[in-house]
Amino acid sequence: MKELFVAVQVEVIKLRRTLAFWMMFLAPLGIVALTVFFNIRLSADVSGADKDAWAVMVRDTLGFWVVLMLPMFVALESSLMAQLEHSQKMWKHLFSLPSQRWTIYLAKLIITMIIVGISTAVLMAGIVLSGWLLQHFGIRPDFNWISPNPTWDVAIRTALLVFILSWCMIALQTYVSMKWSSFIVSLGIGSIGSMMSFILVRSVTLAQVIPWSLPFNALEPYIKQGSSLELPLLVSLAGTFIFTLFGLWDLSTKDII
Amino acid sequence: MMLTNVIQTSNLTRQFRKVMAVDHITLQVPQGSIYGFLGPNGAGKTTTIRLLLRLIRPDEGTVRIFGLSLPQQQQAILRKVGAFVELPSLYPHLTGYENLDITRRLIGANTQKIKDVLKIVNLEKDSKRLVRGYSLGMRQRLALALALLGDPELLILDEPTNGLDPAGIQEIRALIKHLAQERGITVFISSHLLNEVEQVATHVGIVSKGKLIFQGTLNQLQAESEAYIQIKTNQTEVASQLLTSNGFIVRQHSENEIHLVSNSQVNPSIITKLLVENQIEVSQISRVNPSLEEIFMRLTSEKEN
Repeated sequence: MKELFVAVQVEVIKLRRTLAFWMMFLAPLGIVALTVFFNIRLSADVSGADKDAWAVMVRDTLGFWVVLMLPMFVALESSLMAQLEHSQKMWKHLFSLPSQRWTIYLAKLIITMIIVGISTAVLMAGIVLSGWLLQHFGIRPDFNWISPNPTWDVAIRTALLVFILSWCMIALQTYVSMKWSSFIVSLGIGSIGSMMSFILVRSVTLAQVIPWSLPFNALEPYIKQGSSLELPLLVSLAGTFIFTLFGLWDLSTKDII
Repeated sequence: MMLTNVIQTSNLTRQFRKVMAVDHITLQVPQGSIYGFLGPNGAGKTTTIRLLLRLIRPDEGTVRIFGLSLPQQQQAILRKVGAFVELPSLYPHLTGYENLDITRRLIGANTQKIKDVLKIVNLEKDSKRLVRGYSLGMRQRLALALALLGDPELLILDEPTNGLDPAGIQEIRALIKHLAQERGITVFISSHLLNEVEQVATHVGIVSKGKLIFQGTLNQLQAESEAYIQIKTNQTEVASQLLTSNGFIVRQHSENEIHLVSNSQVNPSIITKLLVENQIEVSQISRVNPSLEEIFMRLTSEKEN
């Protein structure tokens, strides 16, 4: 365990001055800005006595995030993390050290998960901050803020579920990024996943089993499609386990040419 | 003093598709030696090094380092080995210090070691600069510093002077000598340039087309080739016939040069007299001890043919 902890620390050092680090903040804040702009300029959904502006803000922001951004964001982050080693042929250095190959793989996976976790937290913080600012400046007085703050427990639970349901996608993209040194393979699969996610969110059944669509299921309290969370959670955890096993086996037996 | 072998391989073999990259190589690298692993490009040097570090798996054969077996005792072996393979592997977006810190953490060395190795490779002043701004020579030195972080007893260096200018080559060469002599580190260094290796190595192994064609000390390599008498004349055909009919053995002759097998009975002055008496003009005659470069070229070209 100590070796794994050190490997994770090392991955944190490697993140310094990288696009992967800045994307962790820029991607969620971009989505928050997009949602705020969208709601101020276009949405009628937030106005009216029967509307809850907080619920709409959380739903729209998380909706944009899980459907439009998250699949590509995970593909990009996992590729950037793997490219740190692929591009400079670092594997030969790392694997000629007395450290276990599996620790390096797991550290990459954990760091990508942490990045997605932080991004989700930044996204939620952005939603709350933008809601407060909209209320404070009264930019759209017709917005119906039924309380000064969002319903914390629902919002936090939803964000947490988005994060957990993204693990399967992270494990899959990490496996792909580590196995193939080409950026194109990883981003190509991410793009296909992103398109699938966009199309399949309309299908309650398929959205519960496709890795890139799984996080969408977390929005159930806001969209009320009538879907259960048990299957998506099971698929996410099982998928995470299986793809991680594939990745560990692959890297452990890989010839470093 | 009886030296034990730090590296001992037996019939090490690795094939890539139809190409036999390493063909039953049995290496013996004595403790405390600087072992020059020589061969033309594509001879199998880097593949052998990858096999020694278990970056790739052999099809056949065994590797023992410090008497321990690969892969069974890989972690114990790698704890005593510092290596760099081909071009230096570095993170260009990090500083020299940060690159060292990453490896230091992974091998569990203390922070003082970073200062020590920076001093050895003379990079103290540049350690806070980003590696992307380093020259190739500085990168090579940083890679060497990375290899030294774990206080290795064996250094495995693959073409460490590749791409360096003469000053950089000299610097690395001096550093390798220092490490072997002052710190007792065994150094296994690959190169395709004999003249570079002969200035630092105590032992050499020559590899060609995946096969080890020579292994021993530099003196043993020198002894591999006999001296010869070189005669320069414009009448090589006539001179060759004359010398052969007088019992000399002509090894080869070209348009204006004859090489005679040399032994204690063959005296250049007798040959000169014989040729001149037969109206053959001789512009130069000398006994030649072939350089290591010539021996290396001969051994590798024999193998290629």
